[in-house]
Amino acid sequence: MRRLALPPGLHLPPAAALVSLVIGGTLSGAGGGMLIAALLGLVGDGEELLSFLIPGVLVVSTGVLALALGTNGTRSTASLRPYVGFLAVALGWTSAAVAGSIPLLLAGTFTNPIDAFFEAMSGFTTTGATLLEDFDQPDVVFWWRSLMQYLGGIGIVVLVVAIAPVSGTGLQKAFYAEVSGVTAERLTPRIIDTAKILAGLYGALSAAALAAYLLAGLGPFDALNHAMTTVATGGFSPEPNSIGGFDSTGVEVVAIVFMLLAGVNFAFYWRAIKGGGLMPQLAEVRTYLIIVAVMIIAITASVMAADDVGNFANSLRASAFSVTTIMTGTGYVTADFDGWNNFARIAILFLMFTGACAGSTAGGMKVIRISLLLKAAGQELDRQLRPTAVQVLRMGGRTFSEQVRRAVLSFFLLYTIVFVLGSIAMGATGVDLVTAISGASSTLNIVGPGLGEIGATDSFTGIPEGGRVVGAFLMLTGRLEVFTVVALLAPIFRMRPKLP
Amino acid sequence: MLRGQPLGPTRSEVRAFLIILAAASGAVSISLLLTDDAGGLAEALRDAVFTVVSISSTTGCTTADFDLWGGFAESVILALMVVGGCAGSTAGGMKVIRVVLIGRSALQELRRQSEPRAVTVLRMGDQIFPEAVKSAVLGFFVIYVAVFALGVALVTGFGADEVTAISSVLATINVIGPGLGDVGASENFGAIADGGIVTLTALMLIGRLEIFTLLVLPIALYDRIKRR
Repeated sequence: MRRLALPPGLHLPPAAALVSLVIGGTLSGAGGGMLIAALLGLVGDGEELLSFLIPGVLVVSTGVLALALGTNGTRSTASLRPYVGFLAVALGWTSAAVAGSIPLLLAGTFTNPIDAFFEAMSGFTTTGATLLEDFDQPDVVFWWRSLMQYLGGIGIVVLVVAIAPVSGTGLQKAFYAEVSGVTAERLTPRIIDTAKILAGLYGALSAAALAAYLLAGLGPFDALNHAMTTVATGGFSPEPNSIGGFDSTGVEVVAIVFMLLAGVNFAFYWRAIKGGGLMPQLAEVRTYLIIVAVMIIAITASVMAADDVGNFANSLRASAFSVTTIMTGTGYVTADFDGWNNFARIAILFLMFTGACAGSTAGGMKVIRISLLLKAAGQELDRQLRPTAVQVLRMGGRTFSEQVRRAVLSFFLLYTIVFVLGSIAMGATGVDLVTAISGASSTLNIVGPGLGEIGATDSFTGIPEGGRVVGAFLMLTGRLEVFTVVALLAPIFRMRPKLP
Repeated sequence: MLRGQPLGPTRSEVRAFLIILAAASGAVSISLLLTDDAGGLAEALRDAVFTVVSISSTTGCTTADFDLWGGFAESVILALMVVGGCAGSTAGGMKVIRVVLIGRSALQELRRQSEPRAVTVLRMGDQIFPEAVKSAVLGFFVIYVAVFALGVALVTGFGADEVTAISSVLATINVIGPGLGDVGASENFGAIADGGIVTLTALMLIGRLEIFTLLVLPIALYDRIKRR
């Protein structure tokens, strides 16, 4: 990166430099996105462009300045404590959401800053939970919603697959990249090369999705918006009724296919293209697809038995879409699964937690962690019978170290604790139990729709303001794989007097 | 205690249990005061404390219908069901000592990640818990959740709504008694279909025997068959 000419006195210590670098990067991206949204809006109805141009320019400038400050700082990031990496990433995402809410407020889409912040956070974390009620918005607003998710999607993939596996930086720990079974190898020796590859894959997938949506009959505006939010597994839609509003089997099939594709580890695609061995990720992909297939069958059967949707074709269509959208954490809606039989609703709730493959844009705990967890737990059970046997965690031809086993178990622990506390917090804002639980689940697993007051065809407007703040926090926590945010808060526990 | 011996980790567990009871009672009382129109502080406290203690000790006696208490109180009660009482008592649930160990393991892992070179040790009071114990407790937790998930899937499959399913599974696996919804404090389990009743009966047994005991049997059987 070219160093901008800054006064020689402006020299940041390494920790601040890293934080500045990351925030600068995210703000530059966010600001650039605003400008692109304005450009796209210009091609469209041309309304409210200034609301995006002005913040866009300001945010980009701030971002570039922060980048310059960051690169002017000392280079020895290897000696930084992991805590700094966590802080950088968390602040980066939060600053993107703050910046992202500004044009939404200026354009009048939202009047409450908290609502705008929620929507922006839902955008960048690719959750897709929306507070938008009036869908009669200028084109540029919809472009911005889609772009936030698009940027958020590639951002997280680059972070997890490109940056985190490289040892020596604090960011590695932030995503447990090497220790939780999530993408363990680098694609190329240099981060920037890996990032370029991932961006290329992302772009190719988006282009294919765009073409497919156009072929399925969507106009260019809808096709491009949905291509962006599908590949990002985000779920924002310019349609008030989401994809269900098109009432088209063709569009739904395209969505299903590309949601599934977006839920696969991007490193897997790279290996497939390079012709290298597919093994490390193949096991996860296989399990992922098996779970999808089994759940579609199970839910179709239950929906037919309870006669929720109608004949076989409709049931299959509705359940296939619902399973895919929930598991990949996209959050598009066709059928109102909130009105289905309770087995289907509970299954959908569980699917939110399962998630798709690691190293993709999806949310949830990720299939590989679930597999490792069940295996590790099974071994503990085995140990009851054979206490002295040496148990090795093995899956799909890969051996996982003791460190990985411990990390996956701890991850599950933290995840559950955050979920329980999140549900209680949601409940405290005044909603009923089902809404609280599904609200916490939908945000922590960055899915979008939930059950109860935030059911499939509702938006998050049923949640009071306190709940929106909790939701935004859970979205950030979930997107950053829980650990980052929790680790930031952990020092609080050390400052308390020793527990009994 | 009666024999004058040092109390060790049991003291920590008891203390944690009492803290949980106090905190939950306080939280639920406040929630009742804020949401209930009738009844003052005395009544809110009375209902809250009785319910919290009854649920935490997994006794299951009810005075008030806590099914009407709103999302916050209900989720606190569900959480209390999971925690249960202390180990070595007649109570059910995951047991306070496991919950404390799990909480401390989580903090320990966080510390290990933030300070990779720090030496961390899992301890309660003056007793140190080795890695093997920690692994076992975490493994127990995973299996507990898996059994819970399976139980809920089965009970909803047999027709219950999700609040009833979740709370009935928790009420049985933690050997408590009353739940929420159709199995709420003022109801009985009659509303659940036969298939659900069978599931819940199995869960009561599994929960009472601390899960591993029962689940280990199929593995032992499988080993036997394999060795033949």
